[in-house]
Amino acid sequence: MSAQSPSALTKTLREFCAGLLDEGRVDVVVGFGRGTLPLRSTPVFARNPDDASRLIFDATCENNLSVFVPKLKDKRIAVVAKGCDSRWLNQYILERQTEGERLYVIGVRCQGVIDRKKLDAYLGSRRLLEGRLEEIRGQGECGEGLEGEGAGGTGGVEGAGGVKGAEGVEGARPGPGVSVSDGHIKWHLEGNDAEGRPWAASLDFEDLLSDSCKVCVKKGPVYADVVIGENGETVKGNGETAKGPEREPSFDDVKEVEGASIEERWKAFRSEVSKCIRCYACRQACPGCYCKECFVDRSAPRWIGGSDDETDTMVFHLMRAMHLAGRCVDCGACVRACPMGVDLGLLNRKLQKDGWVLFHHIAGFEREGKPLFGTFLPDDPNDFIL
Amino acid sequence: MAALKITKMALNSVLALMSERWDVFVPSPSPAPGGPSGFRLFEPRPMPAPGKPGPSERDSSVNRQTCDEDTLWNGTGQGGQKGRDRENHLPEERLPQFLRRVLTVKPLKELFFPRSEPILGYCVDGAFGGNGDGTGVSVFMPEGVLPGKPRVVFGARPCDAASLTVLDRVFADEAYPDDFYISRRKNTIIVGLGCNVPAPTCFCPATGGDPFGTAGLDVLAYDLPALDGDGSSQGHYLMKAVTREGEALLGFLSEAHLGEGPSESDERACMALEERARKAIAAGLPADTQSLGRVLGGIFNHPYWATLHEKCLGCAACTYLCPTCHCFDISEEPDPGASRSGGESPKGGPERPRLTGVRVRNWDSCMFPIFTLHTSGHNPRPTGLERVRQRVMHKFYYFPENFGAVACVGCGRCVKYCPVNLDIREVISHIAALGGTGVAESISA
Amino acid sequence: MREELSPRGTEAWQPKIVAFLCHWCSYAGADLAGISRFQYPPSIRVIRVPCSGAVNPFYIVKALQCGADGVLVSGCHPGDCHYLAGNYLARRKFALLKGLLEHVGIEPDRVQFSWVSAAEGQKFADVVKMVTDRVRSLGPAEKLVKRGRGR
Ligand code: SF4
Ligand code: SF4
Ligand code: SF4
Ligand code: SF4
Ligand code: SF4
Ligand code: FES
Repeated sequence: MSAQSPSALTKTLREFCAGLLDEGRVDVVVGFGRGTLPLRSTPVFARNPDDASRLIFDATCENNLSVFVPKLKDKRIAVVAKGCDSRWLNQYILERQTEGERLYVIGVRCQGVIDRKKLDAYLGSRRLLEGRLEEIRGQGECGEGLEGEGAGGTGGVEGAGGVKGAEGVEGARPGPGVSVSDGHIKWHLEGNDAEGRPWAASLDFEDLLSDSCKVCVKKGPVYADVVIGENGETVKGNGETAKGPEREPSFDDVKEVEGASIEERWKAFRSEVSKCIRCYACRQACPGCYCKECFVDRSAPRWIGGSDDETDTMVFHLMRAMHLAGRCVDCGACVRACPMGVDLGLLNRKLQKDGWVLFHHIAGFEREGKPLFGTFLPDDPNDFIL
Repeated sequence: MAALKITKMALNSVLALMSERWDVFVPSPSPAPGGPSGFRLFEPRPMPAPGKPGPSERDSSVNRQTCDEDTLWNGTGQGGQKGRDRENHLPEERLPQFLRRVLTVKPLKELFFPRSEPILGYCVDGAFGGNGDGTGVSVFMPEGVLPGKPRVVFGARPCDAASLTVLDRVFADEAYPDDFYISRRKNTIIVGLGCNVPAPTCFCPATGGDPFGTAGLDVLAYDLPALDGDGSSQGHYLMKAVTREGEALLGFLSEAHLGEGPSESDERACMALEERARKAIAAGLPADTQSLGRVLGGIFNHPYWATLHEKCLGCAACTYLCPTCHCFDISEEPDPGASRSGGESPKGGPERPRLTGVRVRNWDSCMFPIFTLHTSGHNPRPTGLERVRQRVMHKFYYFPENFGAVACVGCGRCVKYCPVNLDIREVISHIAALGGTGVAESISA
Repeated sequence: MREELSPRGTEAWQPKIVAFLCHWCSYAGADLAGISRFQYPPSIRVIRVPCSGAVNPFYIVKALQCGADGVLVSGCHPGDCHYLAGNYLARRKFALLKGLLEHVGIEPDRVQFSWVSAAEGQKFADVVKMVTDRVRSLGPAEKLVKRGRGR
């Protein structure tokens, strides 16, 4: 990884943050640094100009960094914010968890982030030793893919074409990915296989893209004090939040489930929940789960049992989702944090869809006013009531 | 029988044969992307006809978490597949390919120390006042808790097996033996699979392990790749007995003529595999963990912890997936609704209230905010700082002090699944470096 | 261990429905139905709440987990809430909860909401009848019901 020279964005980011810290305008910059594994980043808390040199920003920056804001004691906090991070910063202000003056939002224009579990599924029994993003100039059509790797495992990637690979089955080529805008960005992967033989592959950007990024409604920050662009340019924010999503939210995934029969849905829900080990990584990764005491931890009343009882786990998931109804910004941080591959989006996105369809509400675009459940309109939908 | 070589093609029949005598567990794929999720019961069964789902109903008499989710194969739950039921099952024939993945997501400990384990059932007839003389109280062993049939695990990695030797020190301690754990340990034979190509997250040698280590194993299998002209399309497994139980298992198999003895060239191939793996894993190892305790003893109040914990989210991904983490929490689980229907009273009067339920032992995690929370509201480990420190101290200082072994086997699961890439290898090296700078000595002095 | 007064899923089977009734309206409406001797099935178990806005969606889910065959939440008509906006706020939560439960495969008829005022004794009886009929046609709840492991 180290061989890669920092991108223009990263360079500007470092300089800018070093400046912020040097001038004492903020006490800490919460950003991302290079992680210890290929294609991994890790949160960095920069408190002096030197620390700023560790900052990076690219498509491996998968956490929602706003999650750290309520925990930090520092007076002035700068946050390197993708679109969804900035939406949670707004939401914090809306929910009075912090004051706007305390935050300095360094917006970054983001193209989406990686879902490591998709990468893992793709890798199968191959080991990944190096990975990076490459911009392919000119005709960067289809990736090399991987030629059926002998008996080796190829997990298969859900590409746009929904190719399902399986262990030892030939044809693990990712589906025809759609290249992002004009960039032809590819994931370049290298490593060795279960026999120790080297391999290399290049995957379309979309193939490893987190699901929530595919349906993101605002890739840039919703509110920012400064925005750093892809080419390293900085633009000062105008102190206003974006009026709303850049594009109409699409809920095809939700609609697909809605099209299934009630029994099919139950089966799918059950199968999703059966993977859960109740490690609560999803809860901890979500900026919205800042309750002093989570309902799962409460002993009086004891809302849910702590064992692996299936219904307790289901109730956990239903209520976790309900607690985020009207607040979830669909950043996907919970889905990416889950080690077991539970698709929490199944519930989150349904609530978002209903919030949008019934109340024309989408979280994270306001700093003032009331959250979805904190207000009402007299003519809200009433037809479901007897 | 000290060693037995089988072709990979024969694995299915070998496991099927074993299934007659043992419950056989194998690493399982997961319905999630990302590969194996845990260990599951091997079920000798025909491939389901195309388009027809195989068995998927829950079998609650066996380990619930591991036995059915994994009949599913690689429906990713992402993208195009969202929410749809996955009907792909892993045909057992593909097991050899599958075994080439390095580790399951969930550790082997689950088969011995499950996520949730009922340890006691109770029934209080005439609860809430009832007959009041205590005669209505009964306590019993919940059904299906202790394994009946002896078990064989096939394909555990050496680090997972080594983790059992760590857990043994806690649960099979002479002073405080844990019947549940011990009975499972006693009736399980473990066939390990050496790691030809360790994963980039593996660091077993830094904890005293080895990609071909035999600690905790009854049999160690070598995955021998196919060679030209050896008559196998996929290669062989060469199984070497480590314990007497392992020898008996191999004897049982050889009686059924399911394999042959290894040749000298096989032995050489094994040596070559071992050497290659050791060489590969040696690059990028953290400092050795065996001597970290010395440093840790002196840095309880070092500012390092404040910077270390900052990015930790406080989830249990690392500890639940860790094969050696063994903290648990015991809770009562009354059966809902059971308190009001005890059936008719013998005298034909109104129904007697009855309370039934179980006492369950669940995995706990030092990373949870409520870990060691007292009833009074006080928590000796109130913030992430104390909790992360506890995790590191427990593994590398307290456990070695108390039990004479490091409580980490270097499997790298926590490295791989931590959502914020808090890499324990880095922590280990940082701490070793603190020791090198003499911080520890100066503080403890 | 559930009571079995009559075979499940039959005409005679009486579902168990947890009814969260607002103190100021539906609860009084139920009272009126009683006083006026309006007949309705003995299927509901009433829990009086100060306001429909006080019904945490968790109560509903929890009732289902504890074995309720159905849940009814009933409050004051829009505009009539004793606390001015409790029912309006509740309506938003219920709309989303209802959708969510249906989304995961729980039959939508199991969870019902109604506005019944203190003067609507007949409406209360009708609502209970309707809800009971719908739940009865679904049969006993199976999904989400915690079975417990004791004996
Ligand atoms: S992170 Fe995944 S496994 Fe852990 S509690 Fe959440 S859904 Fe369950
Ligand atoms: S629930 Fe998940 S997707 Fe929604 S805001 Fe929280 S972390 Fe992001
Ligand atoms: S601490 Fe991490 S590397 Fe060590 S045994 Fe546990 S999960 Fe494996
Ligand atoms: S840590 Fe060692 S024993 Fe465990 S999987 Fe890796 S190489 Fe194998
Ligand atoms: S170290 Fe990582 S996996 Fe462990 S609790 Fe912290 S964030 Fe979770
Ligand atoms: S007082 Fe009846 S709904 Fe609020």
